[in-house]
Amino acid sequence: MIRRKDPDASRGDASGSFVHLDVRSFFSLKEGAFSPEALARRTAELGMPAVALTDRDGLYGAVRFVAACEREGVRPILGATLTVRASAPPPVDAHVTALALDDRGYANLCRLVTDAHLLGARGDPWIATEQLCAHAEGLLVLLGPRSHPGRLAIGGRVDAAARRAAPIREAFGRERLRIAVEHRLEERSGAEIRQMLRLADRLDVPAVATNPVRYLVPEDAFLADALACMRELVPIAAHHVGRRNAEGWLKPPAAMWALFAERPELVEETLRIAERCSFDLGLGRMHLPAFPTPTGRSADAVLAERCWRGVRERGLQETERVRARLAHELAMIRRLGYAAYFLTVAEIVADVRSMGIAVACRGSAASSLVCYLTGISDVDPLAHDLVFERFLNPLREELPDIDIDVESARREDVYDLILARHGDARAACVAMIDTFRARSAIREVGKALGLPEAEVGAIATAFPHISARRLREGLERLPELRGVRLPMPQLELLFRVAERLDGFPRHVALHPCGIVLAAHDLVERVPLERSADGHRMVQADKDDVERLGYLKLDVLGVRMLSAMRHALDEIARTTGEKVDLARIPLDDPATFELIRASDTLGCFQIESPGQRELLQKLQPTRFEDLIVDISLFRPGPVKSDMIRPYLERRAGRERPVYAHPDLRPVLRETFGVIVYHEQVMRALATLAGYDLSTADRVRRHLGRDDLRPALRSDFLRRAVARGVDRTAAERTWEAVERFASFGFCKAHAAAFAVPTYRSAWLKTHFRAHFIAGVLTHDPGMYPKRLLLDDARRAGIRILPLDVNRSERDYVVEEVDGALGIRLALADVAGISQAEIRSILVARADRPFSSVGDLLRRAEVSRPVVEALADAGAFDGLGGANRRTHLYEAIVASAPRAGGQLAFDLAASPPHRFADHTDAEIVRAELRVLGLDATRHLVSFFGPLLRDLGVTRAHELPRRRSGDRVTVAGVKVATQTPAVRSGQRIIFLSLDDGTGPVEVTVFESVQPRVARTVFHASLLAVRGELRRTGVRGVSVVAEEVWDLTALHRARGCGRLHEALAGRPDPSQAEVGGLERLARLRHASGGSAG
Amino acid sequence: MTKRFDEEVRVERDAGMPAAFEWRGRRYEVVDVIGRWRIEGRWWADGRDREYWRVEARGGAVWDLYLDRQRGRWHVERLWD
Repeated sequence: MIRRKDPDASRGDASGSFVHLDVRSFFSLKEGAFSPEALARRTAELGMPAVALTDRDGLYGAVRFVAACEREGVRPILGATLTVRASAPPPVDAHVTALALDDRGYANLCRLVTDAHLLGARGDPWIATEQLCAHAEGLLVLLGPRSHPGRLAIGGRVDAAARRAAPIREAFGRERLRIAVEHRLEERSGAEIRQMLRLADRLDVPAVATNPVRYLVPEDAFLADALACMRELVPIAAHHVGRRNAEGWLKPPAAMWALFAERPELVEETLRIAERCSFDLGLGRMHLPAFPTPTGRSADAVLAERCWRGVRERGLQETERVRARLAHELAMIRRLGYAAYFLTVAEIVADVRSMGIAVACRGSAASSLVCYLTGISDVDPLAHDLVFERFLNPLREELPDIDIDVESARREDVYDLILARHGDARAACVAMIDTFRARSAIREVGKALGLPEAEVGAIATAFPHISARRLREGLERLPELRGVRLPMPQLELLFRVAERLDGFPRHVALHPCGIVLAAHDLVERVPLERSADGHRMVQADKDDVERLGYLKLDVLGVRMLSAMRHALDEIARTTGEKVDLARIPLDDPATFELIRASDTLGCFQIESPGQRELLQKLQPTRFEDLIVDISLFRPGPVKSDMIRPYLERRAGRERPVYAHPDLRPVLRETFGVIVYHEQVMRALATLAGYDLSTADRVRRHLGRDDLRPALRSDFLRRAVARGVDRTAAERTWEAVERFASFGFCKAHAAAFAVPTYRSAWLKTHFRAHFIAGVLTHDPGMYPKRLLLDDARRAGIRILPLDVNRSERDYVVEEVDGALGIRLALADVAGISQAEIRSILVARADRPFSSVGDLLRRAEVSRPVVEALADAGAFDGLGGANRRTHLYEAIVASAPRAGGQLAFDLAASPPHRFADHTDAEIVRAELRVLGLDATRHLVSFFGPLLRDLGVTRAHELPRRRSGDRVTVAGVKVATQTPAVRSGQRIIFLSLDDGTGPVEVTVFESVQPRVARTVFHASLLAVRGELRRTGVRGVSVVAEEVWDLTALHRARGCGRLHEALAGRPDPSQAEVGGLERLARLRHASGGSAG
Repeated sequence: MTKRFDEEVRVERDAGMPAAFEWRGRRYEVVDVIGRWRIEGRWWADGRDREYWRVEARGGAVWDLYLDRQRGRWHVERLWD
């Protein structure tokens, strides 16, 4: 069939059109080398009317593909390549391609893909021929050279092939079965084609011309090779690469006609098939969740009833304001058809609560009275004057989505609950497509190219976290790569492949929080698979889910909620008191006293140095102030100079200014400064007479350069027409426009302020319990050691690790009438949950009496027993000292023989060991627990601090502004937030055992000190003292030193040289990494 | 049986297809093209891109010729007796 015809001809009798029906995008992971968007674009460029997407065992690309085809004016054909596993020999996997002709067909396709994933092992999807045949309706099947029958036919066994295909022939009939014939321009292509055509004849079905498209242009064939080797985890080499040539590309119609010039009907058949595939995914159409309601009652009626019940439950007065607001919200919800969604979410939230799991609503949903009344949110929108339209209005393009926070430690339980409750697959988790970035691309390509792992690793880690597309840019800016010992051609190859993988999916993972809420037909529009931890998950990411018209619920695990839960449990356990955080007063003076003193370490949202500084200036006295505080402490407001005028006016040093008198009611709460989205909406509505939905749309479009001018003139025209002075209108617009990107949703801030206040309340009244919770769940930014210090300063004892007393988590113990926090077993380096359980179970019988006793009765590994002994967990046993316990642990750890411990042979140590020094104790604590429990690190540097004339943290408030001081401590946090002037400021927190020291490092000194600030863990700082608020002080750094370096220098009499910045010559040769390592080592107790 | 070579030849083309070739001083006229295929790959090593033609020369012998597309040179690879 090739004679005298040039296959590449773009002329001659190769006329007409063609449709590709075997196309795998990069959603056929590590196989296809292009995106669905690129496919649609290229198809349009080549003038083809339609194209199919037939990825392997998945429809991950469906939404993006359909959307892109709509943009390009190409008709999308949805299909999939299904892996069929033969029960009869040969027991190998083969592929068939199924195309959806109509709705029924697509539903069957989704079902087949779902079954392929859910019925087998994860990561090994397949179906049997019987399953395929059982879901034949609405599908057209292509049997090509990689199907079971196709392989038999190519091998010359056409009879066997026909027998193998018989069930499929019967299920799909002549109308919906086609034999796919490929001309791959391989040596044996002619023979293969003849055999496939014989099979078509034997089955009496038409054949169709296809080309296995894995890349869009022949030049990209190399990507397919690299991907294949990455998939198979083999180095790239001729015998690992399946393809023999570069013909698997999206060939133009003329090329396809030329290849099949002798059988034009095979080419024409693609057009007929394309005509028959009429399925429409229907993007943008809403698919509301189903919520079962009693017969004859609509979801709207049930929701309204639920809300009125909520009015009574929440103890709200049935005022006209409440009635009107509720009627307004319910009408909007009815109009948009979201009642079932609210009912579903309310049910989920109630379920979660009834499991005893703390749950909180975040985001704009807190503006809704319906959310408040149905228990979804705990914020009363009327009390805080929140605007419903910020959450929901008919002009919003996106679907509403409600975010709820749950205790991080119980998030899996919440997922299980939701998925079990909707066991009929009305709900599923959202997927997240993890894509290649610079580092991951280099690593995987390097492996495929067989480059040495160490070198590849060094290259990869040298790159910042940038997209793979920007690899070469990065390359030019990374001097350390010049030292890489790889020949240039290999590097060139590595980068050539890696940069092309930009945006390619690597694997499909569970989205950290999204859950789709749908009706029973979910699985007919999106296939499901299982996530790594076994959750039901759609083959769609969050954008896809939205475009498919499904509503979703975001469930975020929040550590602070777990920390507070732990505190409440500890309060109940130690005092019997059952605290209900939902019922604590929101105006507790003691709590606000703590907040104003910025004693907020460990508290939600308000613990960072910058926040604590803001609290000092702002001096909150009521709940509303926390909302303002949370809204202001963000890069936007800082940049737009919102903070200063607000603080000045609040303190009464400046008068509030209003661009127009009508804006007074809108902006009064923030003294004329725009802080909230809600204020923008109201300001626009007030002056121009917009309704709040329109005002919200204007607000959302303020950042659009293309729309802004028209919005502005419309606003001015309307405002002036309503009698507003033009200058005032212009000034208002300017303020609103400048504010556009910086504002904060007040509802969101109000929702956040709830856990913020609750955490501060707990810290005020139950500090030990609260800190035990924070230590256990580690929700914040500070290392645990700082929280221990915080407790210590408040008179709470830190009780050492003890095999007979420590629990898994941090717990509160009363010792001699005072509260203490007992260190947790979970923090022992290397200990497993099973080992902890084993210790607790064995201990429940009777306390451990010795190291040997623990070894006999609990299943604990040798290094963990050593660590326990090292950290003093056996000290409480009395008698022997820590060294002796450690000796026992080491000697005893010989393997158990015949159930008998070898330990018994070496019962007692040969002599009495010396006690640990204080320094050794702290060093062991740092090693085992990662924190200095018994003594503060800084306490080892006493003589040095004296020589330096260091002012301790607790003395700082007594010093004057402008004083020159030297401070020192352990670095506990560095922050570099954006600030107004655009310069980089480093906020540095030190801890010297008497309290935190806040240090500000301005850009002018950073070139000299930044390295030390970021790389040393113990620092001394000289600078100028500045008052930042009523009680706050901070030190503006002029010089920063590494405290351990000074300590070393002092040891050899070179302290003055070190202070003057003249390094110790003996240290000059030490490299950066080694220095760090030494420092870590030394920090345990170099003074010991 | 076949004989394998890898020698350069001079090929005359007609409408993109070999019409005749000259090898070891003798001219062979192509009477039919029997097959055509492509080999491409090995980009990570030497790299190759060849266009193969299986042709029948006057007299009945079948030859495999290929065009090395990277260098633009024709080779004779095989003679099918």
